[in-house]
Amino acid sequence: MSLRRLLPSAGLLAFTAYAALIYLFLYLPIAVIALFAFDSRAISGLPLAGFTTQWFAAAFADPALAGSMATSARLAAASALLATALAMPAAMVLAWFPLRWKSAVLALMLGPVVLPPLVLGLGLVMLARAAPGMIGEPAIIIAHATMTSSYAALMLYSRLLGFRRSYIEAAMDLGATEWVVFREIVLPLTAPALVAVFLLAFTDAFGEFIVAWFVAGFTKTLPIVIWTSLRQVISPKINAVSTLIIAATLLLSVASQLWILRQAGRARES
Amino acid sequence: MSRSEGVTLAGVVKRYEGHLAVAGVSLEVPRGAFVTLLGPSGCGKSTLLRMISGFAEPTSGDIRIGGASVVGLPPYRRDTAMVFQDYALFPHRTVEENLAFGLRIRRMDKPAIRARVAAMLEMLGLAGLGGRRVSEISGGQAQRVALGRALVVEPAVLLLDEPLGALDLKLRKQMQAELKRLHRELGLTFIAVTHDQEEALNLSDFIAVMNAGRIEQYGTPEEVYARPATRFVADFVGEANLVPATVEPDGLRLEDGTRLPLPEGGPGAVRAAAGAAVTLAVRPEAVEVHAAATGTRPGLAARVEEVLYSGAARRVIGRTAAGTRLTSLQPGAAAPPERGSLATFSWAPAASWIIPA
Repeated sequence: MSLRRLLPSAGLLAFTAYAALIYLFLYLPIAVIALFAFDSRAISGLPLAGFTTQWFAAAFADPALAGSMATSARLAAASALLATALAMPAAMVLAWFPLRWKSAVLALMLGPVVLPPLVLGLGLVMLARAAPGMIGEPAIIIAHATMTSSYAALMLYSRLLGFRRSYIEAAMDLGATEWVVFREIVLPLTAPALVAVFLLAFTDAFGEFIVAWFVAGFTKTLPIVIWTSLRQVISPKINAVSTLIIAATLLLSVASQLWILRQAGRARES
Repeated sequence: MSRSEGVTLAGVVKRYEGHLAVAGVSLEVPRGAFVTLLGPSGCGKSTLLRMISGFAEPTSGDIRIGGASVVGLPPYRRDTAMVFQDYALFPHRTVEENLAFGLRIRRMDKPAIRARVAAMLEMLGLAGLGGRRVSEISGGQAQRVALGRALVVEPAVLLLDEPLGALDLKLRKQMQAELKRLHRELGLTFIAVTHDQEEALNLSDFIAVMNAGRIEQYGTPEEVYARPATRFVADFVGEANLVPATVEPDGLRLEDGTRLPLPEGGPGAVRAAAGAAVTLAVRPEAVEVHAAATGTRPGLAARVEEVLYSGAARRVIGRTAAGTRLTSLQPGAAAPPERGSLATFSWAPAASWIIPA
C-alpha cells in the first residue's frame, strides 16, 4: 500500500516536512561549507557575493594545505592497510577457531571503538615518552591503526561467520595447503569485505584529529592544519578543501557500497 | 603409497568434549568396493568420514589407506577426495576452474589439465557447460561438478557425504544409477554416508549400519536386509515385526504360548541356551493374515487395527493381546480381514530369524 493512501494530505505534508528537516539537520553544516567554498569574498557570509572556483586553485597552490592533504592520504593509507592486515587474521581466529572466552574477547575488542579518543590520545602520549623516536608519522599510523583495526576485525569477523567452511575443506581436500587455501579461496571471496573495511579505516584515519593531535609532533595532517587555521580566520581555501573531501568521501562510499552489493548479489546466486 | 589395500579402520574412537561421537569402530573396506555408512543423524557416520578425509582426528585408534596410517596427516596429504553435502563449489570460479582446481594445485601442466577437465566434462555429460559460473547451473549439474572435481584428481578413495541428499526424488534415482556406473567404470574405492536406506541398498557392495557411534552390522545389502543382526538394524533398514520370544529346548515359545521351530542361522543367530529371552524378527512381506481359526500354519492371534490399501499391496496392522504390533504387507488380491476382527498373523519359519532381545 502506498504511503499516499495511508496518510491524509495534511499528514503527508507534515511527514514530508519532517523528512526534509532531518536531512536539513544532517546536511546543513556540510552544505554551508560547500556553498561558501564558491563565494567570491574572502570572508564568507550570506547572501553570497559572487560565484568563483578560485579557492580550489588557491588551496592546491598553498603548499601547507596541499602538503598536509598528501600527508594525510599517505598516513591514512598506511594505517588502513596495517589495520586491515591486523584485522584479517584476528577475524579468522574469532570466526573459525573454537575459543573458550569468545564473547569476552569480542567485548574487549570493542574497547578502542567506545573509548573516548581523548583517553586514547593521552595514553599514547605517555607511551610515546618511552619511545620519543616514534612521535610524528609512525605514532599517527599506529594510533589510527589501533582505533580502526578493532572495528575492522569485528566487521571481517561478521563477514567470515557467513563464510562456508566447506569451501575451505574442499580446497584442502583437493590438495591445497593452508596458505594456498587463503590465497585461492579465502582472499578472493572476502575481497569485497576487505575493500570495504580498508575504505572505512582510510576515511576514518584521514579525518581523525584528536588522537593525531596528541602524537603528531611536527607532522601536519590535514585536520591539524584546518584546526590550526581556525584560530586565525576561516580561509575559503579550507572550505574548498573540505568540499572536495566531502565529495570524494561520498563518492567513495557510494561506489564501494554499490560494488559490495553487486559482489554480495553474485555470491548469493551460488 | 601402496594401493593394494583399501581403507582400514581399527578401533577408531572420537570424543568431543566428553561426548562420544564414535565409540570404537573397526572396519575393513576392500579396495575398489562401494561401502556405505548408513545410520540416523548423530550416529557418528559423518564424523567417521571426516576422520578418513582428515578434517577430524581420532581420539584413539588407527586409520589406514592403502596400508599406510594416515592419522596426523592433514587433508591435503591424504589420497582421498570428498564430495560435500552442499557441494562446496567455489562460487568465484567457473565450472571448468572448479574441476581444474585440484590439478592446478598439483602443478600439472596446462595442456594436461585442459585434457583431463574436458574428459571429465564429457564423462559427466557436462560438455559445453565448462565456461558457466557455478551459480548458473542446476542442482543436478552442480552435483556432477562436485563429483567431477573430486574424481579428476584420481584419489585412492572417493568420499561422499550424503551425496544425493539435496536432489529431488527423480534426480536422485538418476544420480544413483550414475554413481553406480562411475564406480564400476573407475574401479575406485567409494565410501558414502547416508541416512537413506534405499540409497544404501541400491548403491553399495557393503553396508555398515551405524547407531550411537558403533557399527551394528557390516555386510552386503542382501545380508543386512534379509538378516539384520540387531533390533536397531531390523527397524532401521526396512520394516520388521519384532516379537518377544523365549528359547526352549525344541524351539521357540512366543508371548501367547505359541510354539514355533527355531529358525536357522543368520548372522545374528543367537546360540542361546534354553530359557533365554530373544526377539523373533520377520519382514511384513513374509507375514500372511487369515481370519481366525482358518490359518494352516501356526501364528499369532491379533486384533486387526488398520487395513491400508495402496494398489500394489495391502498393509494389515494388528495388535496381539500382549500389545505386540504386527504388520503384514501382501499383494492386495486376497479378501482382507475386517478392521476390529481377530485374525492370525503367520509366516514360514524360514522367513524369520532370531536377534538379541
